[in-house]
Amino acid sequence: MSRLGMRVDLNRCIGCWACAAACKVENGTPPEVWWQTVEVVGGDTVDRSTTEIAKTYRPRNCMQCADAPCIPVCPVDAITKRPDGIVDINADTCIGCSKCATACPYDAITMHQRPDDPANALPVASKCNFCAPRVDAGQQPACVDACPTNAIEFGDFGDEGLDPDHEDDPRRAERIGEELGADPSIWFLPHTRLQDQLRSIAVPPDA
Amino acid sequence: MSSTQTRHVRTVCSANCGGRSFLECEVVDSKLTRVRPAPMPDSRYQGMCVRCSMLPAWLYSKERLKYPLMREPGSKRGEAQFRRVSWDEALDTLTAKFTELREKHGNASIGFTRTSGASPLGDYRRLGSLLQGTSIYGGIDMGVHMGLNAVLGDVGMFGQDTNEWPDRLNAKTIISWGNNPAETSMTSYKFILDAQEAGARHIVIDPRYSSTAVQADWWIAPRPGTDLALALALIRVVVAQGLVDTEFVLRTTNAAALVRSDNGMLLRVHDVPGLGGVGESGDGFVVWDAGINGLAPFHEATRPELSHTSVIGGLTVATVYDRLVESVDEHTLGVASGITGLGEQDIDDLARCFVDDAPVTLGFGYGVDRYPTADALSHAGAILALLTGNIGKPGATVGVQSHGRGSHKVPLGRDAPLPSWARMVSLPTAQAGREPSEIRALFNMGDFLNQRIADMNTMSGWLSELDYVVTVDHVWNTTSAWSDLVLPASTFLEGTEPYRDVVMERNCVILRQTVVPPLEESKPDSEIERLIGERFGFGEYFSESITERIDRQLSESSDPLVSTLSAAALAKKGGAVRLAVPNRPKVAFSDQKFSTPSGRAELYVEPLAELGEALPTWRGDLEVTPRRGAGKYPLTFVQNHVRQRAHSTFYNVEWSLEIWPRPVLEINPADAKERCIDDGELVEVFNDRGSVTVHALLNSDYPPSMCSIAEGWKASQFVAGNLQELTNPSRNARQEKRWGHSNIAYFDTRVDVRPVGEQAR
Repeated sequence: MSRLGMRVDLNRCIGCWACAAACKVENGTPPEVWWQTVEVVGGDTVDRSTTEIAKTYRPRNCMQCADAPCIPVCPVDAITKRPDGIVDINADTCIGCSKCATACPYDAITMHQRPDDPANALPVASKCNFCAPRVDAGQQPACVDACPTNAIEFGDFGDEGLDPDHEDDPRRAERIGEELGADPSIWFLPHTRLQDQLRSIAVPPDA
Repeated sequence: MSSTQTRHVRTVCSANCGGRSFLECEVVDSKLTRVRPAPMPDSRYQGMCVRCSMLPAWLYSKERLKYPLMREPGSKRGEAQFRRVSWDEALDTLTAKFTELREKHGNASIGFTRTSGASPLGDYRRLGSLLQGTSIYGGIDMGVHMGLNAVLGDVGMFGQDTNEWPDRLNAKTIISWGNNPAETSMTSYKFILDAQEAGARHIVIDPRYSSTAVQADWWIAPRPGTDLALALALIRVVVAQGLVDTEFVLRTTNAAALVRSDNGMLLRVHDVPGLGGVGESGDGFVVWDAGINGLAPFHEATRPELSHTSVIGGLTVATVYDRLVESVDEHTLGVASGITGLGEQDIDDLARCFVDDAPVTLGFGYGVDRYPTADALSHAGAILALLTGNIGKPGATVGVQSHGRGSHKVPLGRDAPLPSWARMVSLPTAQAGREPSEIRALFNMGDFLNQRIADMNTMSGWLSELDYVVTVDHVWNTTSAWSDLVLPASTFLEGTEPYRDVVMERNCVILRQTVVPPLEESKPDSEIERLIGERFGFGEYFSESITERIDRQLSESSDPLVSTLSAAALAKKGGAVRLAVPNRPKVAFSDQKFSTPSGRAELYVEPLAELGEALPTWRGDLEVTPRRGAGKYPLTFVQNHVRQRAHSTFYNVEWSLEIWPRPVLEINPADAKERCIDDGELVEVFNDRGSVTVHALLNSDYPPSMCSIAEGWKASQFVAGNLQELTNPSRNARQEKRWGHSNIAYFDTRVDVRPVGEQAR
């Protein structure tokens, strides 16, 4: 079965937000609405007192779950799963009840004013759909194209081929919130540089 | 429903990160809607960054200037009371004022400043030259080039590139020193990641845990401003442990040249009776030739000695190498550890990388450029690379690791000639406004006060005293308020002709095409320059259209492929054509020839001998080094560069303000706690020069006693004051001696921080 997904190599993510900005320009989302963001894992900062804790970056967008919790809760069936695995919201059908946003374990759905109908008191739900119009035109999602370090790989993953392509890379692909059971379609190759990183940090002048 | 028209236009980004991404712009009904990476003929360089994506939001920013503005009569500079005027009134007034001042005070009374990246075309140099004004130049990003230029040959103040970026794959060790390419050179950074995956070790030297340090295999964090002491200790390890590549050093450098003990100058052939040197050959270096057991001109010696000291006619001479060994002798691991705060073993290990883990790519960034030691540090870095044979080979290089640089290039034809009298006089930026000059008026391109100077209060005082100040930019910038006339420029995306200019980037020749017509009443800089030039009777020097200019630059190129192109042909070929250059990454100095007077890498910088700094010397006399001024102002204050801006460009993008909404002082939690500062609290950062009020962000990415506010925010984005009020304007005797101008040491600044209580507000 077809299953479009992403594999993100966190050793290559520099936290630059190019994916997020490209998403914004491609999809023309309203102010303050970001379908794609970049989170800092481990806090915004490094703790200099220990070598174990430090920040890494991780892009976040809709996981296009195989068992998407947002779909069954929609009272008007506005959310559908396409045969290629993309989970899409039909804005015309959406009544703005926000049940989907509450159900999403990944906080990937945003409720906001309708850009084409600002007078409407009811919001609309929106989220990343892997740039479905681009995918339909044979292109990659905008975030994949824009990533300057080629950290994001997009394709039909089926259920296999998720681990690194290089034989000498010992990493195993991981998913966020595996235990939640939504069967998400974005895999992350974990950041491993930190655990091997050597650090030589100056002692403060008065020490 | 009316039908919409969608076009795709390819152009090149001009923001001065150096990225120069090749972009495909989607234009719907004359409005830029989307920017995507365009297919690059050299596919290794395809891509764009977060800043490129923001171009539509930047282009249509509500801060764009719409029409010319003139200061209201009776208002003071800095008060920002302006009225709308027509272009004719604006430029006629400018012309009358400049004419009056030139007649009264001389041509040099009109000063021209520019900030980087303000425009790809029309930087007012032609106008400035025709008016014989004063060019205010330099001051930033030049320190690291100075040191490398001194040793490796003068290739200009931005010319010291490392090997081409894809060459990182050939390196075993990559050292990013004071450089944060993961945030500043985002489209080039992938080459370092590729190299790491192929087994290279990436070492990042930076007091701050930068985005690049996050990805490093080894992060080395010395105390701020102590890099030179570290570098000298590395040299000492190399010479003391016998790690020098003697054959390489003798072949490529002047290390065997003899230095006179009386005046520190190099012994020349004409200094030695009997060597027969007259004329040019008499200027050659003299070495001790073991083959004849005597003095010989360098080029004649069969076995020049790297290490030799002797007394000749009462004059003691020693080789450059011996002088180097002597000068670094005090920089033991213990001494360096005491200054830098690093462990002795770590310093030793780092030095050994240059031999045990070669080839080494040593890339300096503009972080270390902001200290007064910048040129001495890169001088030391060049010595380190040369002593260990890490230059001019695949994977082995020393240079400035700047964005997208170092690729193959071929020359374009030159600008249309100007008469020989059309020349500007020069005034270093670090001296402008701080010492007497002829300048009575300024023509600013970009944001001089915010981006190019230190000690803003002194400089805005100078602007207040001038007779006339003009600022041209896309937006109302910090300098605008101190101006009499504010002119709205178009961005590089707008134009009145089909093309803007042509550039050599990343092994390609690329056409910068116009994407949309000028917004509101803005005009391209090239047109503003022409309109002013015509008013001064110089119309003939601005008669060439942009297309004609590009066609001439292409056809007059010495490169056979480029000379066959025209702007229209280039556009037809997709906007970019790959040069006929090798796929193999370019290796700087691969012929191991250096454009120095001797043709060798000159470890010893003779013009600095009278200052006692012909070899890099650690004096420890920075404002930020611990022993000076620490009591009054305990914190080192720097200005980090952020991914969402290229200097101040993009400060006004609303999207980026949604993510990074306001300037913050990033300060180590320990320093914050000592001052009872909470995260997010409003604080005043201050020293004797000025102050700025911002919100605090507690962040141990910065070590204790170091804090930072990102550069590039506009004055109005601070709660009060400006970070440039704080910065150190000291001039640099060594740099002025060798190069005639100082690089501004923005980071050599000490401050203290206090919470701003309700009472104080």
